[in-house]
Amino acid sequence: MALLDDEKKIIKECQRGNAESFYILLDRYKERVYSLAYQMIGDHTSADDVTQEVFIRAYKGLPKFMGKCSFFTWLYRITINCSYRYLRKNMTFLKKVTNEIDPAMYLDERLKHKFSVNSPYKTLEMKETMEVLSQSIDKLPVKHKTVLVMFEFQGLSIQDISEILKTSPGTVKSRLHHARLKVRNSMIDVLNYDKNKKRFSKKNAVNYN
Amino acid sequence: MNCSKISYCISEYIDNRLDVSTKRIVDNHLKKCKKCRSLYEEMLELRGLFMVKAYERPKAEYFENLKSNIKRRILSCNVVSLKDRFFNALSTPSIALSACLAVALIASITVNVMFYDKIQQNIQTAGENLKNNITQLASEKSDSNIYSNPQNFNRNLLRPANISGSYMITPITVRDVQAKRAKIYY
Ligand SMILES: [Zn+2]
Repeated sequence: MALLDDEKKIIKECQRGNAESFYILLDRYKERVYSLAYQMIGDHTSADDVTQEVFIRAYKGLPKFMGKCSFFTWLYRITINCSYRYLRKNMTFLKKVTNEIDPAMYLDERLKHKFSVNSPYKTLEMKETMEVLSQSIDKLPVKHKTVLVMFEFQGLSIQDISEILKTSPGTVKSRLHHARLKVRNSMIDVLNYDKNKKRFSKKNAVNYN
Repeated sequence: MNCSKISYCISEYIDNRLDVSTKRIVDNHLKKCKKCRSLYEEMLELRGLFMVKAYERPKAEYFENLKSNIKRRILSCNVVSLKDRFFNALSTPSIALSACLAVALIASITVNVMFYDKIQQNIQTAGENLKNNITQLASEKSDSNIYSNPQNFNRNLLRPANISGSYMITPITVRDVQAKRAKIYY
């Protein structure tokens, strides 16, 4: 990803020491950085700490930013590094904390609606399913988790991820596949719960007819 | 293609990254192989779950707090960065050299101003000593004057009488004068 034109201007302003310009970037990316940190760490307070750290680092590091990649790639790289560092430092603390449903998080209302009407998961409590999913993702090796989070939750392309992580697209694809496979393996009961139920209800329907 | 290769392709298949010919191979395999088909279906379901989870996010007002925290920290950062900038500038050779020279100049000026009185005093006392010594030297040369001038009897230059009954003049060394000079200038 190349540096966006307007960001080039903004970054130049920042490099001249204009903090106000930096707040434009802060506004633009704070939610993305926060959600990436949250998805990596799985704890609200920790994600808050990491997000602050990321933007302070970005602000301090901006004079050295050469614009060889997009600002976004650079910022995501910082976020991933900060998250890794945080995970390493707070391993024992996070083991106790993760998987608690965060009161600050909520599902988009439209999606919640869609979920409850059309989804095959309506037979299971949505909340429960999501908890199992979060637990399965938390169990992943950190490199697999990173790629999965970036691809599935952040909606980044394979190319973008490989740039951020400074690896080849092939490596990213393979990590993504293995991450999915692992999550699928640890969720296999949940995934087949609906299928079995559907099959069962179909049989019932046939019998009734 | 065997099942393990197909399984690797399933992620690519779901994300629509396969070329036409490979896609056809996978399609045909999925029709025949139950094991791979169930994997494909589970992966597809899983993707649906991921999509739902992707929508999890904090309420908008949450970010106002976060933003103000970051802004506050950036402001305190700016104070520090001014300090940093100063010390970073010092690492540039030319600036460092001129800074050193400036510091040396300021130091010498302050020393001069602060100790002006003392230095002046030292110079004065040295001058007086020199004057005294010279007059003493002069008086030494004209011994007769001392004896003839009664005022000179009050001066400590004269020692008590020795055995012979005559007065002796205290010897004067020029070395003392030089010692005083040494104290002032070194
Ligand atoms: Zn197969």
